Amino acid sequence: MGEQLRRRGGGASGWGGGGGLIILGLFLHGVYIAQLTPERLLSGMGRLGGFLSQAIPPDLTRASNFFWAILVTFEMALVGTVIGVLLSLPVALLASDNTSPNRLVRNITRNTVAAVRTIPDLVWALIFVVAIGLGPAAGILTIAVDNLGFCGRFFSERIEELEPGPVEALSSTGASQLGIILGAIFPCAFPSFVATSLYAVEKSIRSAVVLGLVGAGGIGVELSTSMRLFRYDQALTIIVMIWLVVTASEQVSTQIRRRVI
Amino acid sequence: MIPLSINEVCKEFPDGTRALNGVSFTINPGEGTVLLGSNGSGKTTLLRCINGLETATSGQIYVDHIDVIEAKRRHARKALKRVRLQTGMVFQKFHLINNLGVLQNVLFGSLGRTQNPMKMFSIGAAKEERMRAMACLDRVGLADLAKRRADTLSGGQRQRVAIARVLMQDPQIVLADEPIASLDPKSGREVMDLLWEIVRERNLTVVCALHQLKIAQEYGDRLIGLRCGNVVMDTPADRIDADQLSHLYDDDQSQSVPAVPLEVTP
Ligand SMILES: Nc1ncnc2c1ncn2[C@@H]1O[C@H](COP(=O)(O)OP(=O)(O)OP(=O)(O)O)[C@@H](O)[C@H]1O
Ligand SMILES: [Mg+2]
Repeated sequence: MGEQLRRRGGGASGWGGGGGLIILGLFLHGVYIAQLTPERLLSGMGRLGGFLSQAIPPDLTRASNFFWAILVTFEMALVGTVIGVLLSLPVALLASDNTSPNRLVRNITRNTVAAVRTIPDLVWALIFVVAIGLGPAAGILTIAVDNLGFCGRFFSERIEELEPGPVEALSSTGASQLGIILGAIFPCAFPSFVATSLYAVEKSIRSAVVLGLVGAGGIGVELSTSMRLFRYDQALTIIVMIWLVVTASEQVSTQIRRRVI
Repeated sequence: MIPLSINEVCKEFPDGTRALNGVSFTINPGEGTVLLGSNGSGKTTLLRCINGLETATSGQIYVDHIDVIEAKRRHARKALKRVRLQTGMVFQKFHLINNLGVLQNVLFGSLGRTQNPMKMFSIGAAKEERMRAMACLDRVGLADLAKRRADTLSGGQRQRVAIARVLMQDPQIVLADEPIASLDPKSGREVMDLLWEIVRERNLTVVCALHQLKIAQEYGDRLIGLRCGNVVMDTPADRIDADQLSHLYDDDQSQSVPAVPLEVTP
């Protein structure tokens, strides 16, 4: 008995020990390849100082161009999120236990959504840039697909958590499936759908900035150009503008959330 | 005027619980029947089987000469819908759509007849339908609350709205599952009065599960007692016999503690 326990304990700690060793190894290798030596950090600080000294004062001459580009970024995020949210509604219905027509459809939808979600948005952007070329369209599609994975899952979870009562009350009157979805499921899930969608917009604005770096339109394109041309004074202008827009959008969505919920 | 007849209905849940063990009775059109029985005796399950919210394992339930169980098993949507249009349900917990308005909730009573999604909502509904919903609300005395959100109402008011929703549905049979169990005694009586008045004035058949014997005797024409999924009592309300009643709530049953203290009249 004691021996058995010891052996089992030994097995478990052997496993844990093996896994721990591997992770420790990966960690040390990671630190090694990063080459984060004190000298590099110091010289990095020095160059950061150089960056700042060139960036300040920010150059506002192209601010109006940047303004339009940032507007494009915002619009990409907005249009992409709206498309993603609208597509997520039917997808979530197909993926939820209580609304899916059958188990096969539910599993297929659920696995597809999960697969879409595992691919990072930058990878989607690269694919769409190849497929339809540089520009905001690729960014919009990327954000739509990214939000389909995100909202599809959250909407579906919310639908599955709904109380059965209101749905049964409408079913009991002879309502069609459409009537039940529009009359009970969407209204009951509405506050949570709105909260998730607002969060999705905030998230998408940040990701739309980055998408420009791979050519998917918007302010990211300008930012990467300024950086590559060493125009750090313009880059700083862009960074400040991004900060303003992201902050403002978060404020607005907080206000909307407060009103709806 | 449509008949309701129940023949040898059994219900076994997937986990093996036998909730109904061959329940049979026929209810005459216009009859006010009260279902009695301790917790877990199968009242809720029986009512849900009649409307098709639950599929009975065997037996027949005829509503308007359609076998509900058969319709459910064969996924015969049209037949099931005909049954549901004729059987309105009132629930213990009201089951309103909480974040919608009162009038909208009443309007949903006619969802079984509405195909066009635009007409399901009060903005898009035909004027006659909105007026009818208003009239139903007025009948339950809540016309002035039409614009309120359902979750701002008291329990008694919510159950009235649920009754207005049934009025809007306009069924021949009303199935009420402990409609007053969540209400205080006074509001409970008011709701029972209202429900029975409506049932009588429209000459509807009603099957109502209750725990309060006194109220059951007062309102019911006929009392049916369930015990462990069997009918153990079926008598006109004025000929009730104390022996049968005590058998109904015998304590050799596993879960025989009633939710509400019983008031047995001597
Ligand atoms: N979904 C379910 N799955 C498994 N068993 C169930 C389910 N619903 C009900 N039951 C069981 O069926 C039996 C009858 O339950 P039912 O709710 O019909 O009783 P009831 O007479 O309405 O009781 P109460 O007075 O407490 O409302 C109980 O033993 C219950 O545990
Ligand atoms: Mg019950």
